[in-house]
Amino acid sequence: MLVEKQRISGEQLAFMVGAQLMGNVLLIDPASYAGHLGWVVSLTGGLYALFLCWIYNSLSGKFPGISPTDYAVILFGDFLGKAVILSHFVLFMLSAMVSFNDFLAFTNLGMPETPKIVIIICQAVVVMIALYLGLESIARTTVFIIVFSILSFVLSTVLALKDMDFMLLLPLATDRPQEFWQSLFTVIGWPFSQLVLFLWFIPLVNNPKEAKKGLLRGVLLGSSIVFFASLRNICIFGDGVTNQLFPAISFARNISIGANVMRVEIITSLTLNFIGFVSTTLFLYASVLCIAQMFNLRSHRTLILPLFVVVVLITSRLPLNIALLSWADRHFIRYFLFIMGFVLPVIGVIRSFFVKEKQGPAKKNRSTKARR
Amino acid sequence: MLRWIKNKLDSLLLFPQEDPAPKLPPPTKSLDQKLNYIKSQFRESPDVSTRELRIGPGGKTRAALFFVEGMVDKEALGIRVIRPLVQEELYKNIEDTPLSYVEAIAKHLLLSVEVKTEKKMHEIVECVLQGDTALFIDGCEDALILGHRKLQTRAIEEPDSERTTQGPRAGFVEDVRINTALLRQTISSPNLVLEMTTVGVQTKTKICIAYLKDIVRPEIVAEVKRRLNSFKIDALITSGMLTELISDAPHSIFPVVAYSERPDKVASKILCGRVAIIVDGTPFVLTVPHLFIENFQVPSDYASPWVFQSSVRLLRLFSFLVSILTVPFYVGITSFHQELLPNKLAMTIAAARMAVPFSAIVEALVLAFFFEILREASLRIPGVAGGAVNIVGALVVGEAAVNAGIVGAPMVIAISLSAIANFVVTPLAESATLLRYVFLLLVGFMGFYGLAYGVIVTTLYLTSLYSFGVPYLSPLSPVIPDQLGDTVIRTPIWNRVFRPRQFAKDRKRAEFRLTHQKQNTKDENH
Amino acid sequence: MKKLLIALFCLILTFTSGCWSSYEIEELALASAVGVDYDGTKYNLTIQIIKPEIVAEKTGTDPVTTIYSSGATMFDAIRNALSYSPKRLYWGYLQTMIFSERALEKGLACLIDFLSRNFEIRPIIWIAVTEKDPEELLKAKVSQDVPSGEGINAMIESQKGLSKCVHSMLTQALICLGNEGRDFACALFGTTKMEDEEFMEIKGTALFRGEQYVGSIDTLESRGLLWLMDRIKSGIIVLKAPQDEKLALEILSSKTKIKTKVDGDKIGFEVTIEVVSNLAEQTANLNPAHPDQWKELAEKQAQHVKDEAEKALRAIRNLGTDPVGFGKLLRAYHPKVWYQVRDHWHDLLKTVPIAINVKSKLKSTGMILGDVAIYGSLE
Repeated sequence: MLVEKQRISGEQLAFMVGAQLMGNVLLIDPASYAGHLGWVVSLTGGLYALFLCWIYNSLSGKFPGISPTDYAVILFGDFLGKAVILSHFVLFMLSAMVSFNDFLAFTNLGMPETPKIVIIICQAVVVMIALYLGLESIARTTVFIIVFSILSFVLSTVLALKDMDFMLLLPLATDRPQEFWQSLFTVIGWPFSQLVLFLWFIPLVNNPKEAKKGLLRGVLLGSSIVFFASLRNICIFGDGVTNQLFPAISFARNISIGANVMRVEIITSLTLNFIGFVSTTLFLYASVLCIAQMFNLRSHRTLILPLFVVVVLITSRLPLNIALLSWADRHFIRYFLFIMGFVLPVIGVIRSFFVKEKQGPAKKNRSTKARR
Repeated sequence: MLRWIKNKLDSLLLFPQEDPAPKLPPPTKSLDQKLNYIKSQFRESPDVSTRELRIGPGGKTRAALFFVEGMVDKEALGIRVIRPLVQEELYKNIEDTPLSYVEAIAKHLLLSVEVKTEKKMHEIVECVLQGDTALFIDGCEDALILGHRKLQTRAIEEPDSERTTQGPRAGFVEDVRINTALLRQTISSPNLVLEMTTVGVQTKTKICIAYLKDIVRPEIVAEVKRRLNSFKIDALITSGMLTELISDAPHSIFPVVAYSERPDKVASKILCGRVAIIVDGTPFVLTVPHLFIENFQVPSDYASPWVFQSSVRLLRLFSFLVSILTVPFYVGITSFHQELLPNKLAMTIAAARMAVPFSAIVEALVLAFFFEILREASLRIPGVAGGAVNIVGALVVGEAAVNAGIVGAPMVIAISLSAIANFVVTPLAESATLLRYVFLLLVGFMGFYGLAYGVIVTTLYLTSLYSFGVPYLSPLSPVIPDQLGDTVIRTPIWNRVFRPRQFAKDRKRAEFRLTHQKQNTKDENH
Repeated sequence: MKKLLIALFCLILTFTSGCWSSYEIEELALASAVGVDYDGTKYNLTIQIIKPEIVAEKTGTDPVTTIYSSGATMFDAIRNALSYSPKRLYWGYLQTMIFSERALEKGLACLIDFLSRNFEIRPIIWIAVTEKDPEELLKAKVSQDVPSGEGINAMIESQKGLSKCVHSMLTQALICLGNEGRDFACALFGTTKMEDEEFMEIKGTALFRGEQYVGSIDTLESRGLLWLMDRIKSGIIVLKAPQDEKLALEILSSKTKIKTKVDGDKIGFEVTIEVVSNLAEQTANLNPAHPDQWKELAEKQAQHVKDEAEKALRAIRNLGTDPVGFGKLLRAYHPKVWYQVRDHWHDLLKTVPIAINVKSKLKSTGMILGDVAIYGSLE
């Protein structure tokens, strides 16, 4: 029995996946650490994401209509399954708060005098409203936001074409392989392993086949935008992209055509604002679903207010200097993400071949006629 | 469990729209008793009157007409009712018939078109108070209800609020009978169903539900009827009250139920599969379900070529955004994000704002408030002076304020632009005003980040609205590809093959073999 | 209960709307150009501020106020300017930064680190170098009575028609400093006296090696440099004809391709310049209908361009800098060789053979054919 009664369609799932992949990468490009080979890193990450997509599709295909909270218990046993789910919950909360914090660092640029807590509360309230209004609202709003983001991305890229220097991409070799490999491992952890989030959304799609197609399309969309974003950043900055904290914003600030078209960064700022909201909402929604499903609550809405308090309290403690997070990333975050996103689902798939299914596979949970 | 039972019971319970009528006299045969009852009920209202007659051969039988002066056609009453009744020679024809006396009179003598028989006094009184005439005959329990209404109604003229350039100049009036007649004139199909019901204990307002029974989804009609039966109120004067009672989201600032004064607009909505609700006493007809995109559709969209009308439709969408976003943008840019202005414009605005003592947000609120007062006042002032107040207020007072240095000229421009753009999309005028103030406060608080949050919350809210089971933002939000032709642009008529899937069950509405069009291009190729 | 909470929230929101980051636009002093000088211990800044009411109403009086401030670092000096200005200084409309040669002694990075870190200053501002005092430069007039910041902006923009200096924005500086193989080059300003008043003038190009300022080249050599950098948009080529006559050709388009020729350890470059131009002015009685003469003209143009380019090449080799980006090209196509030579690239560049070939083409002659003076020419 799924807690969430609303259903989304496969295309909406695709847009949500694309949004989450684009989410933090448009703000803070993790592949930028590799210098001018960042596009290779993004490409590799994209291939890894396709592989992950295949794993998630096969895992959720074996348990159609059942939430991961329930089939983790089937696959890993009672105690271990609950431990896995709790660790996923911790992962989602942390991811939400880190993505939130990245966005705070960005708003701090434009409005340095505003205290952080104000923006935290405002954004948290908006996210809570989104969680209250439910999955359908979030999915439909995400579609609009992604269409807007893609348009603004294309617009800013086209406007900057005259300043791009494609030779900066060129030497396919580097004399700093250390940074390349570091960047590659970071990218595998974040954002691509965070796709494990969508294991919770796949049972909420109208039709399991649509879910598979939707996930694949979303991964393709998201990874291609990530790839093109890192590509265009390198074309403008070259190796200097490692020094840029917010490459998308610096990119938009460099656009100058004639005397008039100069301030395209406002569109990029709005895009980042919207996408930051979507990313945080998706993570928090998955974490709410986790807990609600585990305790078989009637509705996830009761969890919203405590979640609000927790998010506000913890996010206000995170540092605004997000470069500090790269230390944490190098030491434990990327391993945690890799285990959660890759290792555990692979083990799950392998085990699902051996586990006898106690409940019949025909436990289809489509309660009401699905409203798109 | 108990709650479930209670809910089930509540949903089955219908509210009868009449009083349980404690003081009604039982049906009697005596004319005097009936007349006494009437006299006692309507002692204080001399317009409810009776006229006694002597009918029958030899004038032996007493009868009385019971009607309301001012609501009956006295001439028709005289010619069609009183004259045949008092002419003794006509009674010879009905002596032999086996029908009862009343039926015989009804079928053979009277020249009225609408004739009903009725026993219960309260029904008779209800009919008479709505303009019918009742004929009581001494010795018969049944009374004859004749319809000779002459209600005051205005002529059919083009509605003020919805003008079109090229289209019929008819508009609904206050009488529900005339309105239904107008609808029938537009849709001559036998499938057009016009069901009547009554709402309002004191006003007994007649409500007519109109739909095409082979097209509309039965669940929508059932839902409409259920909602109309789910309340019991004293009076229903305007259709706005009904809107609040039957709408899905009465608290929302966006209208979930559409209203219109034009028969052609309502007819085309019925033909799409919607349900129209005509309320007696108001010319505004409600249509449900209502989609967001309908607010931007006007009948004159189909008057001109589609390329031009598509650009006009885009202009309408754009002006909706302009009316909401201009003032917040201006305040946000001058107070928070000055780097967005080009250099020269920045100089001009800074120079204009030097004389102003307030900050931009205060100035915007003051001016916007002033414009709201102007708008409200110009609605109330009668006649020509109303328009004059609008122009005088805007230009003269605005100019004087700028010269005095209380407000800046760019702000006056921003506010007037937004106020003018407000009226382009009429159904959303109030929503746009409210949104403008909300966004203005948000921008004053946090610059464009506040605006972004406002936009996100508005989008979230819009996508969560449903109108009678149909998502509010369809066909844009759950994308329905064959319906996208009439949303942002208006595609030509030959693309509109299917009815909306959300409310129509019979989908295909047209087939096109426009060979004359293809022929033209063929000729060019040769 | 829920409604009470929402109402409370809205109420609190209205009272706490402190709008911390809001500054009204009329309270800002809009800085338009900044000149930076260094006198050994501190940075001296000359900041030009525009008064918007004078610009808007076009009253004709000087719309510019100048503020002088100083400080231990760039940002320190900029903040200290607040003590001389009642309004908050706003850098969003800054258009030019002018550095004096002395300020560049400590390196370019000291000066532009603040500029790239700050969010208000946009990265598409012009960077210029001046030999003299920036204060004197900003006092000098620009014709048409515009404030100096905009004037410099306009002058640099119009250089595209003249092609006499290499103009760069802050983004170029960041890219050159952040990537290997190419050095920064920017415009060099000075003043001239015209009718007893000092006017601003572009004197050439300032060249850097990494973040070190190494010197400047004049306008002719700058044009040669522009040929090599593929940044010529338009310009005039003056050719000599027999009998001491001159011809002027207007450049329509040009394209430069540089190829690397690496043979083991030997590095060489081949520069191919393609020029297309129009005959714009001639007093040499040249007959454009004659194919031989037309061809000869094209060859003369090719030779002239080659001379200019070679002159520029000699100048940059003397100064030991690489604004053209030969190193970047080497790095792109032969990274292994580059990693060996990059430590001493600037010295190596002095000896590396660079061959310049020019392909020249002439398009049209305008509206007339030959010399205007058909009759009555000088004897």
